[in-house]
Amino acid sequence: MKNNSHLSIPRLVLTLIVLQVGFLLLLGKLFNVQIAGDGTSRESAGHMLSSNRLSKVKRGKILDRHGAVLGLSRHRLAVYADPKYMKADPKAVARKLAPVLGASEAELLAQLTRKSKQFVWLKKGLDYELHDEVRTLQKDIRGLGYVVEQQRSYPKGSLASHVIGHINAENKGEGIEYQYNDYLLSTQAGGGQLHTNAAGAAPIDLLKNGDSTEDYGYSVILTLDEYIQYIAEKELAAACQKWQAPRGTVIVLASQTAEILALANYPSYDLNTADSSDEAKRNLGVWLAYEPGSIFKIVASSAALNEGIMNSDSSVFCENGRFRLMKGRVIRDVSPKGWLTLEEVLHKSSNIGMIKIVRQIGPQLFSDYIEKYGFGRKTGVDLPYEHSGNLYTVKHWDMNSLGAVPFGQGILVTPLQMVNALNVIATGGKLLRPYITREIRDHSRTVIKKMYPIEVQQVLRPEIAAQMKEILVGVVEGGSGRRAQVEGYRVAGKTGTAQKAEIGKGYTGKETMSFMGFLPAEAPVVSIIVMLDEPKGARFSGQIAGPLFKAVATQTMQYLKQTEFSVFSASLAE
Amino acid sequence: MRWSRNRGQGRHKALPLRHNKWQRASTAASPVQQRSLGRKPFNQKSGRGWKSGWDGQAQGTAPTGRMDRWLLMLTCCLVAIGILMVYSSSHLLSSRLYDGYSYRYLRIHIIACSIGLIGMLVVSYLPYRIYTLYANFFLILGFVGLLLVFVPFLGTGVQGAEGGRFNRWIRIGNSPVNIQPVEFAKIALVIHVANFVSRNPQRVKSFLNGVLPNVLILAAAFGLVASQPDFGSAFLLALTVCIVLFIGGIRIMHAVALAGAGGGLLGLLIIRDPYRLQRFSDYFAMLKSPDATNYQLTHSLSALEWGGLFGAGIDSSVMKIVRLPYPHTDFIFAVLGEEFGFLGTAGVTMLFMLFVWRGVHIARYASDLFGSLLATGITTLIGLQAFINIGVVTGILPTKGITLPFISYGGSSILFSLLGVGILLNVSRFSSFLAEK
Repeated sequence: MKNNSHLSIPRLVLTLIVLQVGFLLLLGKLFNVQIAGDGTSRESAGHMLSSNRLSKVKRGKILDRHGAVLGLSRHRLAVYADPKYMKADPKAVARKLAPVLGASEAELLAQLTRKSKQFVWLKKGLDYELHDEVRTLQKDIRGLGYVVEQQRSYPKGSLASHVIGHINAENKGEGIEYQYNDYLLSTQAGGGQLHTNAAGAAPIDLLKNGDSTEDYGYSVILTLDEYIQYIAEKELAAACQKWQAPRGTVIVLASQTAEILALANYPSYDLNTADSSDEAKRNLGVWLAYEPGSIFKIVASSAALNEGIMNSDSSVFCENGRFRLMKGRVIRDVSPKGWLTLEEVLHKSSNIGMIKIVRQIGPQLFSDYIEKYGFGRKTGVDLPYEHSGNLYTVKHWDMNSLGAVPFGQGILVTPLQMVNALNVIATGGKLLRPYITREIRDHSRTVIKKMYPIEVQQVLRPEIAAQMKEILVGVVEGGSGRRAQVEGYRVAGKTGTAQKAEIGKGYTGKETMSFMGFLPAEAPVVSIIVMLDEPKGARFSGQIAGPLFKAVATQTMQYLKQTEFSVFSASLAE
Repeated sequence: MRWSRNRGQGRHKALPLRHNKWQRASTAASPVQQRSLGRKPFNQKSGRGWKSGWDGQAQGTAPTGRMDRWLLMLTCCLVAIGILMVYSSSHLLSSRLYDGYSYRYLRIHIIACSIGLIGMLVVSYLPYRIYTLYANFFLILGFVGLLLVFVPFLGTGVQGAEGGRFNRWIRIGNSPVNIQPVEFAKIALVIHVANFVSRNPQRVKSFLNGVLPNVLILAAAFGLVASQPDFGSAFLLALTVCIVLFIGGIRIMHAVALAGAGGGLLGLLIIRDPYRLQRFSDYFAMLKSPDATNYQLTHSLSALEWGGLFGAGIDSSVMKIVRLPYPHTDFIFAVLGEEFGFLGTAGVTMLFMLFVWRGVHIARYASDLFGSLLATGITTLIGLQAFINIGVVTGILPTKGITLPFISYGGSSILFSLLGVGILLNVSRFSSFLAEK
């Protein structure tokens, strides 16, 4: 390179390397943001134009079974300005805008002169009625724009928050908003045809003409009863606060149809602000898998009766309160007993008696019945993220687990599975599929989809169900569930106190207290489960869950009596 | 390429005249220049016309005569991506501002690209040594342009926040065409410095006679650009000139002193301007905790993240609708990231990496020092500008109003970038690369 001898090649190469390293840095950063991103900026910046808020379709309503509005969408205008394109005098513009937008001139002027921001919101959440005026202004003033946004609004605040749920820009969420998103946004017969493109983004003609009132999504009508839901939430919160329980659940089923009339969880959150943690947003009723405890004893007892292995007078010896299993494990009863009949085993909630019963029916038959009652699989309720529970110990029997499962330890179930299993006795032996949506209707109230009770299988013969019912009535009237009695009604129910196992620690003394029952026993109308997790200050669920059950059941029955039970028109025959 | 052959013969005749002119223009005929001037007569056999005529050199630096295909291809790729992205990111804005007409920005962009590409081809046939003759003229023209933006009737000032004005454009008559003179000034300054250094490579070893004159001119240009205010471009300009001086062989001590002075000046400018200080403190706050970002950055990052690996698909950007400021100019890269994902952004970044590599390659094998410095300067201008723009969008650098070369909407930017590539291409025609092999 004689002709270019003054060129310093090392320096040139150095420059090249520095530039390329700079670009590599950019690539690294891009990788970080786009692929390895932890999602924080997406969530916090909120990719704010979610598909729902910008969708041309006005999202449908969510209603309770009587038509009370639990969730609806409103159109709102959001007005913004682009100061770069705004040639007009900011003062004049501010004067013109102030009366329409309902903001002070000084405020608007401050926004309009913020050149460095390049995009400024002037007013958000403006009433849709002002649409025509805003559009006229937009045509007159260069650099002014607006978008029609949807604002989801929940008139009842925190009521049924876990059932209604939420959905975010990435179409992830919980509850009905998530489960029925396609219907809520759909305007087509048949459902599922959405007015969004592949990315779920807004249709692009939206900004051309801001009005989009023609398309309404379907409305979802729930089986929930606003008032029963209210009772359940109120009483649950009171009980949880009284007993310092960090979480709890109440589910009220319509006995004959397995419609969910109320599904309350504690803690609850306000849907309109929705600022609580993800944990608080979980629907414990279908998501929380817990060890049910004695409440599970109905499974083995009814199996023994149904298979004719025992009758309610058959006796088992309860070892006077101490029963040694293999591997040195000892099972104790709270109150030592000798010989007890099957009925008495349930009344006294004897663990040893239960083990003896299961030994008579045998592990195979026992696990068959556990599955027949619907444990270990999802109930099929139309709510997202349902837990199927865990029957690991049942599938891998050993003498240890066989010693615990009969009284509800060592397996995991959800509150909904549990109450639905109890409901088998209330329906005369049929296992139904619980559901929470009655109907889906379009904007003109034409029914698009209607749900009916579905019978999964016959678990018990009707006469055995009736026999079990009487035993459970005895539990409430003379056994461990006395505090759950409801004035004027015979209640069939069962208490449950389960020790909680923690990973790596075993049973630590924390307990889950529950009670479930149905009433009136002669002709069951509602089946209710109440469950409090880790309450403090009482030893047995009869003291804690019993009164909560009583409070919910009493008020529910009063309300139903006043409305003459008219809410339960749907039956299996329909 | 029949036409080039005919032209070549014409040029060949004009050769001796220009040859003399150069000799007159150079203050001291350096060995470099003597070598670089072609003496070999037009090579009839090669059929490559004037290229051979200009390049066939006694010292054996045989010309390739071919422009760098890589560079041409890369540029065309980037321009094509640019047209696509300008339409995708601007049609909503256009339809909003121009009564439903969504092609306004696209139309202007395509016109600018067409003029730019034609200009690039023309310039690529224009022997680059010609610029040594006009270096001073260009420099003066550049300064005049920078001054004109402040003239009330010509400059298109935009009223800014806190009573400040942005004087960045010159209006041509009553037409809607606005020119951003800084784009021309950048290239003019690079030409000037390259010419200054290559005329007498020994001179830049001295501070007083070599470094200082360039630094003074740079300072003047920097001051004018920064007072538009266009701090991003001023910074880019300064960095590029320093790199050209560095390659041109100034002493390391001088380079260090220059960097120190530049850094000090930068700090002073930031501290004195509250608005800029705010941006920088935003920037450093952001480095500490990514949540504390400003509006633009929050949304550009959000757009990028939304894109993921494959992107949302063309025209599916949600952010561009209202959230992203200037989706078709400064933040077009964010829209690209949202619509084409990491594949798109990494692809474009790598195209720029290849571009820089190719530019430096051309500089390395240029037939003389002037060509090398010119190529380095132009490559640095474009590469750094891309780096700064992408850096701003990804939050590595504090927010600045600077466009992405070839891709962003903006007539002056695209035009002068392409003309710069034309110069690079011409330098590559005289490359000694093949000869060395």
